Amino acid sequence: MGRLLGIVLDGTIFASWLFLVSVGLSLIYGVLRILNIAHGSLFAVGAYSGASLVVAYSQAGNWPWGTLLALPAAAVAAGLVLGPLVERGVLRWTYGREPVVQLLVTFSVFLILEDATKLLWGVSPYYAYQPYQLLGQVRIGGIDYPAYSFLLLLVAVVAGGGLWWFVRRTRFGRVVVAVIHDPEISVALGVNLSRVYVATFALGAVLAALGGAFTAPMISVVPGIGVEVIVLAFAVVVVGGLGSLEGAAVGALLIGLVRAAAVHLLPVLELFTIYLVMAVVLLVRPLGLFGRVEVRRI
Amino acid sequence: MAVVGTARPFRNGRFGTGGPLRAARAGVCSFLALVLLWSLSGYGHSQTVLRPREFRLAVIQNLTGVAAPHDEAAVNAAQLLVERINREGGLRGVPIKLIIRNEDGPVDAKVAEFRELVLDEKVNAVVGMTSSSKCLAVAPVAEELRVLYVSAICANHRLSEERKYRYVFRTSSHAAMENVAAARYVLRVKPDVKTVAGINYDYAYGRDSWEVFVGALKKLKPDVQVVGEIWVRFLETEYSAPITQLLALGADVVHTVNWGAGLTAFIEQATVRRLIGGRSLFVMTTGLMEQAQRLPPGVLFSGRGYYLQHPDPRRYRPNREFIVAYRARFGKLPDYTGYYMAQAILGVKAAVERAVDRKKGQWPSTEEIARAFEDLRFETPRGEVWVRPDHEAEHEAVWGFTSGRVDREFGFPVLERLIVFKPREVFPPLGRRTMDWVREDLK
Repeated sequence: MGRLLGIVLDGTIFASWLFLVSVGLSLIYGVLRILNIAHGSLFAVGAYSGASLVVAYSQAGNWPWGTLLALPAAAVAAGLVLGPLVERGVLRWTYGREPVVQLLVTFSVFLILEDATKLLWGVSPYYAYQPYQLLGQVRIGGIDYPAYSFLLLLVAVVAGGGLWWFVRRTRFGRVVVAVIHDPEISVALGVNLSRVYVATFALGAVLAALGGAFTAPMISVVPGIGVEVIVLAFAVVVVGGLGSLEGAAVGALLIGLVRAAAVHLLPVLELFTIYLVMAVVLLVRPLGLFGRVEVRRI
Repeated sequence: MAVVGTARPFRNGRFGTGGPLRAARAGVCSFLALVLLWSLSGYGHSQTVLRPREFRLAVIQNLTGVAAPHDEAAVNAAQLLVERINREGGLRGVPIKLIIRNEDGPVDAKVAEFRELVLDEKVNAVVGMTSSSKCLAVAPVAEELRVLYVSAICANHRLSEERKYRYVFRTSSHAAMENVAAARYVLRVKPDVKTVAGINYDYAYGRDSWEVFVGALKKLKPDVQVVGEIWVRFLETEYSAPITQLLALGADVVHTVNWGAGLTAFIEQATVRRLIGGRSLFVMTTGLMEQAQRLPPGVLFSGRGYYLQHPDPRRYRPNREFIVAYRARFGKLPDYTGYYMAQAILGVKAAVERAVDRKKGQWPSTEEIARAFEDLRFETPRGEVWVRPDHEAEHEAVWGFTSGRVDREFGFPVLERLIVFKPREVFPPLGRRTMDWVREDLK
């Protein structure tokens, strides 16, 4: 029983993190049909901004709980600056081109941002443990869990729920859905496509940065963290089905639980589990769990 | 070796003026000249080598990437020591020219850069390479190009066991020493240890170190049980499930050789969850001072079997001078990588000077420097180092517990209950393969 509880808790915690870092990728693909490799570096920029804001805030001797607000603030700022910049500056020139071109362009943006982060923040690690230590621990089933992990879970649920509400319940969200289904008809009906694209990309960038900012207190922020994230996020999104919100959530949960089970029951398999899940899902459903077959227009 | 030009330059699409016969003769002549030069410069026993204007020493360490913070002290120490040696008259009058290169990048690119350093930059010796895969890859190249290569930090014990080299040396311990020392220390402070678990990066250094640690522990106390082996991705930073697993296992001892940003993340996450500072005794082999500072008291700690507290900088002058000069120049204290680099640089210095003295002041060839490097003892900030005839190095190993205190005079986090192991306790004897020694002879 204790072991099962451990697997479920660890799996859910890891899944909430996976969801947070991958949902932006899925959103951007859903609307813009671009697999945004630069997502990884947006994550890294979020982590660096979050960490430096937390450090600056704490050193000024402010109210410690404020660090928990500093994280999302830094993420939103980073996403809102970089998102529109990348979309208007680079990506919009690639719409309607071959997917390979778009992939290469986002990859170059990724490389540029990686170097830009090094220029801005240097290569030494950044530590921002204040929020992580501040929250202390929760004892469940005789084992201590960091309370911060449950905060992460909450952030993931709020981000996912908020996104769902935004897409399904708001006017702008419905416009986005219309664009997802048929960009041409949407334009014919008077939708400003560029605006939808900028807004979506900015939102995706904010989500990536949010993932980074909330990860920062658990790790040491160093150059190169973006690469690992893009691989994981890609796996989650592919399992769930590219472009699907529910898919990202279910994919994250599936991978999180299987990995936790592997660590507890068969540790040698741990590194391999994520690819195992991906392979099995793709064998059964080549478009991912929530992927839809697209009608190809000629 | 100088390249001898063709006897007649290639002009207007033809050789000289005398047609094909003369061209052939010119070719034969230049070939003979080449052979003559070759025999003069390379192998003879009575070699005359001109005293060079400078001794070109290349240092290759990670200047960027995830390993850069780990290697920072090594690069700093190299600069510091070369400056000091040059101030004090160089290598028997020949100043060292230091060339610093970046290790970050793929293995094949680094092998190419190594060749370029030797062939174009004409370096006399290369020191460095932290990654095992890279030090194993460049060693044969050094041998082929007949250039001195000194591995300062690389930990893989296979370097000298799978092939004999003439120009390749190691001036510090390999992974076996730190793990045998760790096993001995565990048994001293916790003689009733029953269960052990490990959490290590899934790559050669992690696997080899775990094998040595468990092998030594089981040989010294056969009833010790391995209750868990957790392998995580190289430099992993997310440890929620492994920590739950380790908490559930509750092993007497938990071993890790994880290092760098991954270790810092693990320390933070495991401390908050009271895994570190809980019932298991933690053994960390590859920590930096910054990490010792973060740890709660009671963690068994070392930087690859070394910590700057020994030999006591208050009494042992070389260590004190090193710490003081390093702090004055860089504003912080040297991590173990700085000491390991110091061993390499001072080893090269000792070998060159011994070779010069053997030739009564004449400048030695690389071959002669390499021979002087064998069976060489020299003083370093961490005490005496002996480079053995088999090109491996022996020295003391230092382990202790984190205490939560900071040294008043020097400012480093203090380790308590320090134990210093003699080389013969933690090194395989000459001619013995590491794993055979651990499994069969250890007592």
